[in-house]
Amino acid sequence: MFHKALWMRNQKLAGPAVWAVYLSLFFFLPFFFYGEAQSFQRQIDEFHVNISQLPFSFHGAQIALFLTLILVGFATLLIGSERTTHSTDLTFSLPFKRKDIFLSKWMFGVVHITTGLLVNLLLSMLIVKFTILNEVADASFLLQFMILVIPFSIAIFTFSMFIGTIAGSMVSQFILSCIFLFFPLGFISLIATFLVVHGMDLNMLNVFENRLFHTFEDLVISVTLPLPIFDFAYYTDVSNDPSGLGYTRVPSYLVLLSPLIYFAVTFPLGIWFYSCTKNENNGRLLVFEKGKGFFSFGVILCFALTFGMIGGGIFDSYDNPSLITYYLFALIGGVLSYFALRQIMNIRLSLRK
Amino acid sequence: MIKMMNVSKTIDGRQVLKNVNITLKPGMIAGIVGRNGVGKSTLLRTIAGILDPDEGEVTFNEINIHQRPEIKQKLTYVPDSTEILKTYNVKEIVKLYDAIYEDFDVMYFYSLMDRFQLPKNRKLRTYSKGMKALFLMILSFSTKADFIILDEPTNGLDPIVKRNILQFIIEEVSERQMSVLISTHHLEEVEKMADVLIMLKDGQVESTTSIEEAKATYRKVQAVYKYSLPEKISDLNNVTILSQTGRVYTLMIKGDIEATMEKMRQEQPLLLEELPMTLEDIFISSLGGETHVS
Repeated sequence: MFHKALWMRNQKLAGPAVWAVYLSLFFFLPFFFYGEAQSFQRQIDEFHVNISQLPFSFHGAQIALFLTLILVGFATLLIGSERTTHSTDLTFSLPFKRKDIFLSKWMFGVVHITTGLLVNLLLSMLIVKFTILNEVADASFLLQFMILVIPFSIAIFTFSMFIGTIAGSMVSQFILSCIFLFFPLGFISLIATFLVVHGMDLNMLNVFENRLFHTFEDLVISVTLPLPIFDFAYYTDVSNDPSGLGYTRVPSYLVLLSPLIYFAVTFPLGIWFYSCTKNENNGRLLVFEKGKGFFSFGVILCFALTFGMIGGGIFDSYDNPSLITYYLFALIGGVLSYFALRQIMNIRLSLRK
Repeated sequence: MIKMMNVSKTIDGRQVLKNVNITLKPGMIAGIVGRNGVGKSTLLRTIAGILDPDEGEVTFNEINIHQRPEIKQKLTYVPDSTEILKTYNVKEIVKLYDAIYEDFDVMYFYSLMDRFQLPKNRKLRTYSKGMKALFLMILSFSTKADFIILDEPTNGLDPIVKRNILQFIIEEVSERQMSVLISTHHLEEVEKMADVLIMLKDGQVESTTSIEEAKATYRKVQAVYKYSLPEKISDLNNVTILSQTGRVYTLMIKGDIEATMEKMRQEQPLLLEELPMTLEDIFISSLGGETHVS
């Protein structure tokens, strides 16, 4: 799995992403906390003069979206960029198994992502511990964040690598990864609208009450990979809570099953798809011919449901959605996406040979 | 020894390679010729393990290269694209190839760089197209591979460098008993250096012969008859009209040469003479068409 040469090649391919991981995490974590410490010191100096509160907070949402984009970009540089620039011709002609090439790319990404997160979170903990922030906050919330963010980041990266094994170019890998990472949330919303339009009461769907997940919404958040990172929050206000324990909103640790399941599915599938990749389709939307029908069906269905949701929402009367408008717009969405997809499927996005 | 056995490949619903069988022995230079879009690059990329065959297999020393790509330590591929390593500088590439290929000879590489006067302290993107092509070839030969695949290797090279590099390939093959498979449109190169000529037509191997055999199989003649070319001659399957100016016909005869010449003489030509023949004449007559470029 580990070949020095492949590591060197990955370094060259994804060098910008490696820098982006370390630098962005540095700015979003230690740099942010250092700034917070300075700002907090100023607040203390001005306490009872201008202000009466001493709040300090950290939200996963501050980092989640950017982190997701960096992780998807990292995977895109490792797989999609080669397809777009034709350098697959070099990589695949080398004396290495395709499985090893994929594993070395994955390992390269995971090592840098984990190191970047660990180093920067540990630095952040040190800053919280050895600055004025220590007076109001317990640095252990960052440990909780670490336990959440590392497995989810690895799962997001692995998922994007998997998408790279079926997407034919950088652009399609990046876009499809972003779409499918948030797909459960979007698709469930579309299905929910479809059911509401057809007169179903969604409260009936709260079948998970008091079980593994408290609500249906919790389940949707858990299966949409980046959302639990968004959901993490730590808040403290020492002027209201002298104990300084603060309040941490951490999704149930059961959500850690989600990255585990995503990993268990997309990692072996990624290896398999990469091993039988069709390099002749590099530059196209998808690498494999066989999945085109299923993919097209899914895209058309989603567009139909989206157009139906928008149309039904615009033309509803007194909160009574119009079924006819819903289907009319769904039909328009379906037909438009069908023709657009036919064009997109035949486009070959590649840089000059 | 490299063997392609019953290899077929379909791309975009079109069968690009149909049941291709090729065997190349050590110490052999083989030239693949064929018209644009006939499947030359697909064939080379399949041998290099970049593309998977739909049917058939490619073996190198009896080992399937798609199932055991480690065997490619002794097989290298130089693509027609010169852009693949452009972000690297020479030192980085040497380091990379030294890590990939166990037998990569760094000293030999630098000696070839000196021989062909290529600058060593620059990024590949600053090289001209011809320099990049030459560099990739040097790199490939420095791996000490037993089999090298060159896709359009002399594109962009000036005539002097081209002559030197062709000479260099011949030297390498004769010294190390290695094999080289070259795809090219420059027929004069194949004529000068190749031992074997592989003609591809419609995704199939039209013929695999030595250059001498190929030339012996064909004869180019000029014929003038009192009126037009007699139907008895033009209807023959082994006779192709290369060109016609008035009553002057330039014909190519493929196989059964003496019998065909005798038939032509029986039709009492005003003139019937043999013309010197190049590989290009054989290419045009056997791979067909005058203007079609796909």
